[in-house]
Amino acid sequence: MSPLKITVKRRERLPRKLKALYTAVAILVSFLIAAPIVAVLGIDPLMFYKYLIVGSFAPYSIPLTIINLIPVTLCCISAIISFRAGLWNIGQDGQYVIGAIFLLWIASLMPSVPPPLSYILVVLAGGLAGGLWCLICGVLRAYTEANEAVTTLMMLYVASSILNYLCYGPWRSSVGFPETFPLPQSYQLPNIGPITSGIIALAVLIFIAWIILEKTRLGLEMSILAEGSRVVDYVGIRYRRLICLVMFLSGFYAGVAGSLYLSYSAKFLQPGFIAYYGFSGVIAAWLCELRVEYSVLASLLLAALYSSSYTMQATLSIPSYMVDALEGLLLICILLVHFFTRYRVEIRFISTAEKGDRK
Amino acid sequence: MSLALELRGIVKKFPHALALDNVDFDLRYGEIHALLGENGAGKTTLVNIISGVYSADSGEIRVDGRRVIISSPRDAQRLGIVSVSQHPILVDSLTVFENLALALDRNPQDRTFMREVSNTISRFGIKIDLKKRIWQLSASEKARVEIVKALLRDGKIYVFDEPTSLVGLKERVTVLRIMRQLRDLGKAVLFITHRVDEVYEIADRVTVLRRGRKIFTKKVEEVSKRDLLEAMFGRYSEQSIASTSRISKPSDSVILKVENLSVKDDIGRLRVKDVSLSVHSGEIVGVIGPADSGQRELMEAIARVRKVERGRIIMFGKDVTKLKSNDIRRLGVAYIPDDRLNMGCALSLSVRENLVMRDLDKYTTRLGLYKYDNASLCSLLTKVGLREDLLDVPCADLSGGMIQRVILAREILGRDIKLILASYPTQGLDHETTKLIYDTFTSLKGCGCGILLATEDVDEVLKLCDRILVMVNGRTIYEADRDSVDVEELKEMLTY
Ligand SMILES: Nc1ncnc2c1ncn2[C@@H]1O[C@H](COP(=O)(O)OP(=O)(O)OP(=O)(O)O)[C@@H](O)[C@H]1O
Ligand SMILES: [Mg+2]
Repeated sequence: MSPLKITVKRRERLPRKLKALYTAVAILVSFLIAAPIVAVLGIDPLMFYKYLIVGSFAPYSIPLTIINLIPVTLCCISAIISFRAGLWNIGQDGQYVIGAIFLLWIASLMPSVPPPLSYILVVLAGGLAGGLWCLICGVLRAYTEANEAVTTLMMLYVASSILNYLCYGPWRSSVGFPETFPLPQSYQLPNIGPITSGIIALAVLIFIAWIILEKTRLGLEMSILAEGSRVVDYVGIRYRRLICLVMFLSGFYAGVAGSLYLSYSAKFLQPGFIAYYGFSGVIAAWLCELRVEYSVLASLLLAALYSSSYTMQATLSIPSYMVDALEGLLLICILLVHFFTRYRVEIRFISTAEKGDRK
Repeated sequence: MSLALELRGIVKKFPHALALDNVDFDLRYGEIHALLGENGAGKTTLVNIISGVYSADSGEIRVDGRRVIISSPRDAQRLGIVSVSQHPILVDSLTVFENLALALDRNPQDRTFMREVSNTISRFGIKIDLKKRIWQLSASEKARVEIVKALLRDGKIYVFDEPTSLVGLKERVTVLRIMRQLRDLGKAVLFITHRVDEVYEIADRVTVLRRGRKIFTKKVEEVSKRDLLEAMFGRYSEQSIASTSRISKPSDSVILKVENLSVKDDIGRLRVKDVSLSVHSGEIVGVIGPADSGQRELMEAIARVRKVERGRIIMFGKDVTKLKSNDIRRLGVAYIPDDRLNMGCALSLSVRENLVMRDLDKYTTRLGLYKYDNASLCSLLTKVGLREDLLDVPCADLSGGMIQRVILAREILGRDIKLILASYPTQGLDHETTKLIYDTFTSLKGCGCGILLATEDVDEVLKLCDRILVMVNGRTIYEADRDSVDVEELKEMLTY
């Protein structure tokens, strides 16, 4: 028997304000932990913090931040949709890639669709493809009880292999780099001033997600689904259908993230198209406590990390994985806050006397 | 008798309720002290504070005259406070003995521990097979394991939170006997209940809580039943249920017919064997039996939340064997499940959402948006004696009895029903709410509604039902009209 005894105990629920405060503290702490790591790399931590902010929120950085904000927020909402229903879609990056691939294919088949219609196609093609891709895992979960966290993640690697195949193989452009031909001009979302018009699509999609989750029967059924099978049977929800629908919707949002990004920023596909916005979106989803109305705020933080990583690479030559590390730290700190606001941990040493009278 | 436990000025506030408002309380060695109060009075909260689950906002606790701070269940155990939890936490794949060893942090190979356990079991006369695995046990056997666990802890202060509301008749007798034995050993016993009769049956002193305030502590001999009820509810109302149900005679039209039904439980054992029964319009049929005789599975199968192995279920002349629970709800069937925490409500959703969740069709517009009529939901709540401002509170924050009231409001109020399937509907409910249910049942019966009632409470069956079925080991072994029932024989069958 070990002399150390650790017990974990549920706590009373905390008021929401206090929780927000703790989340803020978690963000700060993860940034502080980054300082010594940066210092080890030989970089002045103060400079690091400075570029972290300047690189994302200085006037000239804002358009870049918004370019990153759109896919992160959409992936965040994708995660929120599935997590709310107690389903764990964590393969947003795969759905993102498939959304983009499908759009490029559709566009190459009908390159001359005129703008307002083509913009709608950007959203629908990406969403549909991402949704169907994720639906595969939904069907597996609903009918064979295959764990969707595992399958969605595995499907990410399938998607990424398809992307590589296309870039190196049939869709490779003549230039020689492993990149595909570009998206036809009419499918490329224009900028409004310095900012991409993708932001309008984002606003509409956030609103729709909010309506679905907070105002519709579907949203309510999703929360009931998360409560467990007994109450689901009692309410009489057709849960197999619901699981499929939720996974489709969740994949839809991640797929749109991919097709939009292709349309307003990337323009063509290459193996590096996967920027892991999906994982950032999952982190953002925990950060905003699965509430769509705060998803932009949470995603903004992660999008800012993306854009400052570009700036830092260019000016401080800080390797970009430093920002990945920061993202990881952020997730760990948030999860710890989640844990410690729900549970109390007691660590106790068992004295020898106590051990004695047990024998 | 010296003081074991003393509480002074205990205050506990939750976001929506002041659960305990300046409560003083004391408990002596060698007494059974009953804590009595209506649903939501704060009884469980008080127990949780004593056993270290919650900490009080203010006030002091003394054990043996010394001031203590109890900030975790472990602290409470160290002070000799043992509480018998209502919902046993056991590892399904281990044996009873291994579970005991695990809970007490002992080595299951240890011979002395084995001896201790068998001593305790025989001393308190508890029947339990130590070698059985937990998944093989029935709910009441699990409750017994929980009691053995508590007895092994060998504390000074024992706390029982509603030990009699979940177990069957036979278990109830055992629990009460164990409490007496503990008292005779000089332990202090705190006993939470909302059944006034039990107070007279067993307690030495009684404390009444109402809305978080202590009303009084008195010796049981010095207080009348009327005083107790008045203190609990702030008013007194006669228990006027007795024979109202006889007013209307059942009609000839059969609304529920069950033919040769066989049903399995969660782990695939056949629990209901070839049961047939029928309920007429305007009739209350009671299914009674020792704990775990299959009533639960029978009710779940009829309510269409459990698979039917063999047989047919016919409601209003229609075969519903293949339908789902919400389909039969649309036909006018209400179902009050016994598993109210896992099935009856969605704990993390608000009371409002819980009230509408079984009628989503009704509350959905054509666009799929839901629309609530807050006024009618509020009136549902007031009818079951809940405050209107609870609408937005998650069900997890309500007391056990309050949750049961929400379920009742949803199932039997505010809509047209022709058939009620009620599994242990008054379990955990206080006197006023029980009366409300009885009154509602009888008035619905008068309107031609049929009711199938599963219960373990003999008095309930005798008071309410027109016909009584006794179920033992998955089969109905006895059926009789109320007037021809031999009460003694009935009681014997239940404690067989
Ligand atoms: N964890 C909690 N969070 C918020 N409110 C709570 C919590 N636990 C209890 N309450 C509130 O405190 C009050 C007292 O609840 P408690 O569980 O102590 O009642 P009780 O006397 O045990 O009732 P019952 O007979 O129904 O079990 C209720 O209004 C309840 O809503
Ligand atoms: Mg209680």
